[in-house]
Amino acid sequence: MGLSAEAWALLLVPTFLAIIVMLVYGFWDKITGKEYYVDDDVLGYDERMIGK
Amino acid sequence: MEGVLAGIIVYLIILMAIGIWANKYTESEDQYFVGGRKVAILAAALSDKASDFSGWLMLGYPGQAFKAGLGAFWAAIGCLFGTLADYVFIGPRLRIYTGKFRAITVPDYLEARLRDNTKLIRILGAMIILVFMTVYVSAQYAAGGKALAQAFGVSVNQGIIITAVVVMIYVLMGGFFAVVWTDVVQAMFMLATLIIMPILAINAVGGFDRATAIMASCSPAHLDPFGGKTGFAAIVFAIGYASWIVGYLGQPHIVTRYMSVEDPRKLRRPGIFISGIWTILVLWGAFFSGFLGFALAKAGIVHVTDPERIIPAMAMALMPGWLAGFVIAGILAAIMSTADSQLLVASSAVARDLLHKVLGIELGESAMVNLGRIVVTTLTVLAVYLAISGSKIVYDVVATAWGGLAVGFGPILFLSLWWSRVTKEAGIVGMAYGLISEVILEAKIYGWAFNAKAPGIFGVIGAKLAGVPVFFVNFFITLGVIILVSLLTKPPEDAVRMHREIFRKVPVEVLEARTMSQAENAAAFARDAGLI
Repeated sequence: MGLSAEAWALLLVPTFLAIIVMLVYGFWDKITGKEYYVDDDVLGYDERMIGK
Repeated sequence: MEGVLAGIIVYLIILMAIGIWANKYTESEDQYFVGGRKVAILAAALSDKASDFSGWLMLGYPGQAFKAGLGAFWAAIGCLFGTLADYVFIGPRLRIYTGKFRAITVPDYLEARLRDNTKLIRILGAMIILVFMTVYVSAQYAAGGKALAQAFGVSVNQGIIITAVVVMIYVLMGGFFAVVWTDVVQAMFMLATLIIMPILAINAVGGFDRATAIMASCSPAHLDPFGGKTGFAAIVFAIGYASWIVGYLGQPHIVTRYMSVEDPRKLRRPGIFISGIWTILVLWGAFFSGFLGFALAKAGIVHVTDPERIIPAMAMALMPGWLAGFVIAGILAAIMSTADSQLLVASSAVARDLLHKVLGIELGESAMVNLGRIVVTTLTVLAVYLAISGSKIVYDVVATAWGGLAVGFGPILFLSLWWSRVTKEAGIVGMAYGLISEVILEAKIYGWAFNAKAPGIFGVIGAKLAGVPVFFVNFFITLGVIILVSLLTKPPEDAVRMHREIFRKVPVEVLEARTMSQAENAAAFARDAGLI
């Protein structure tokens, strides 16, 4: 019996699309050559930025 | 029975050992709630998914696959792309902002980002968390109650109380760090369980073709991608299941994991790969466990009175006792790893957001941690009451809670990370609308999904969208409300400027050069100190 072609498409197409999304996003910095600038200042505490 | 118990006890001992180990590192509030912001990416990514996938994955979702068949796979698609959306749209930017703001809860972040000096965002955030997280935790206890009832023949209510006590004990022991590391162990248990179960099911029923033949003979709609529906009804059917996707943007117990990671860039790589691949494997496993479980039940191999108990029933029927014990432990892992994170987030909403930040009650760090523990105990009692007295259908209760958090936090979190112009007035109106509308729509008018039984005009709308979760539509309404109010009000210039500056991107070579320089600096320091 097994599954129909439509049923296999439902199972497989979104899964492959998700893997493509992972690859593209995962290597977006390599693809574009740019990445968020993250240094100690960005990750550190800064009282002025609290906006009180 | 003894074998099952032995498997569970071994599992609990492992968790307790991790809790004791982690307790040594939990001294301050920052460490208790976000693990000191130094959680390794592997742990953060697996913890993110273990916190996300709960009793819903091991009981609720297989129950839907059992009842609806192939069409229920749309829910897996929604969850998978929701997971990816969190990494693409929320994770890195939230980590950068929260590091800058020194924020350790989602209301912390929103208050700082929107420059809210009225405290309303913090109060609304805490209320959304308290209301819907308590409901969410109650769903986990209900799931635990069902699993233990299936395994040991205790009543579901007794199972609920046992689950609640175990979860509470180890949250109290270690806070976030213990939760993160126990989540990692639990993620592995869940993965193993959901890989084993479908293989076992195929073997027991006599092959995949035989399973589908059984379904075709007794319920052909089980093999249809749209549950036998056509046209507009088929689209509504697919959206109804896949709608979980939007909820991912606003779940505090999930996004808090991104706030704890050591370096936001690691969420891109390897973070999204760890989470994405794990998610694919467990969703396929959970789906096929329920899907094939239906064939097993029809063939008379497994007997279940409640479709949501199909995995524990399969384990008890098809496995030796000790192995079934590990499967039950895998189910408990899913339940505990979510409930603990949710209790922690709810606890931080009371201890930090309301008492510390809103009411200005100043306590020492260890007193604050102890206060958090009192809140965990109180919320546990409330959630147990809800679990015992309310609906025990895990899928529905989770959808209700998921919806409230999705609408309350999702639109404002997303816009605050991607739109410099969003204002505090918009945040306040959007969150208030989200909280009030979700409570009214879910508690008084529809329940978690649209249906034709609602009164008046709501019934007409409900008939058109029958089966679509209320939160899916309400999410976009809230998004629109926030955009509209933002356009009518003006954000502070420094907030706009900061938003534009903080997410600037630089050539990768600059970052690599800086990393090398740091290494060189470290080597120089070591040389100067006579270490090398």
